[in-house]
Amino acid sequence: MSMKTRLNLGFTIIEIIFSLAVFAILFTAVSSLMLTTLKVSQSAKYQYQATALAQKRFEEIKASKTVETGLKSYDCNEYKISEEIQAVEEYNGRVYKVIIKVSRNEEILEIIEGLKIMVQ
Amino acid sequence: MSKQNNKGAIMALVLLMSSVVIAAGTALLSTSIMNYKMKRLNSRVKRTFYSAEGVLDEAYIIAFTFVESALEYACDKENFRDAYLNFITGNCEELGSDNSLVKSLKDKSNYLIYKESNMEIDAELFNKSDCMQLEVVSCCTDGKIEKKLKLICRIMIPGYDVSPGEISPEDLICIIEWKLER
Repeated sequence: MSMKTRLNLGFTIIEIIFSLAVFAILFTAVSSLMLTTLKVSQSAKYQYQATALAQKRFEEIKASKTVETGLKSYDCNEYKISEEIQAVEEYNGRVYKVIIKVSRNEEILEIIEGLKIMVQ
Repeated sequence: MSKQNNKGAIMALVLLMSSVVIAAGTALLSTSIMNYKMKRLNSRVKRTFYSAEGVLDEAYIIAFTFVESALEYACDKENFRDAYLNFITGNCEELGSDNSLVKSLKDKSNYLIYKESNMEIDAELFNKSDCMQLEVVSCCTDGKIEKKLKLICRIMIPGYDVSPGEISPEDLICIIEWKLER
């Protein structure tokens, strides 16, 4: 066996082990990156759906001919919608303050506040 | 021909592959974060819009109440039509102060619900041949987000032959247009 060949003996296994170690470290970092990406994407989806739900409910209340005052909570798929409608005394029952809150897992994702007016 | 030296080839390959995966992962993460920011911005835009709409709702009720007061004031006057017009335009000598509809709408202290500093309101009254046209513009800001809404109302002027008991404020004020300016 020549001197050169003897010097290269066992090199590949050391190289592979070292590369695997580097790969494992990088894989951990990348997997946490991917996990964060997934969480952010999910949060964006929940935020968008919560905004759409709050807007839909608020428009329904504004368009309805009757109004029910008080606090009402109900579930809509995985979200919880809380509606609070209060008459504004100063405007003789013509104006109602509406607050819609949409939450998911106890976290409030959207709050829309507005008025409903009833003059006719 | 001497044997090709492959020392460190696996390491180089691992590093190359990893850098590609990290670059792709970072690009994905930044896209997701941008997407999330857009959704939050969309939420803020909607809230600002509903605030601006709420201001206009309140302005409409103030105008409605003002027209109602004008009717009450004018109903026992000799010249019902002129008294009603004078009340709306703020030309009532006996009431003293210049309290016109436009002035009431522009005065932020008249707004009980929306009195935040991030909202502005402007009102103008135009005289038409048989009615008045009221234009109210509300503007709400939240940082760089600005929402401007315009409400156009028609305020009728009762004819000389109409008796005060026959009409209600609902007959005298009606919304013509409600639009998003910006």
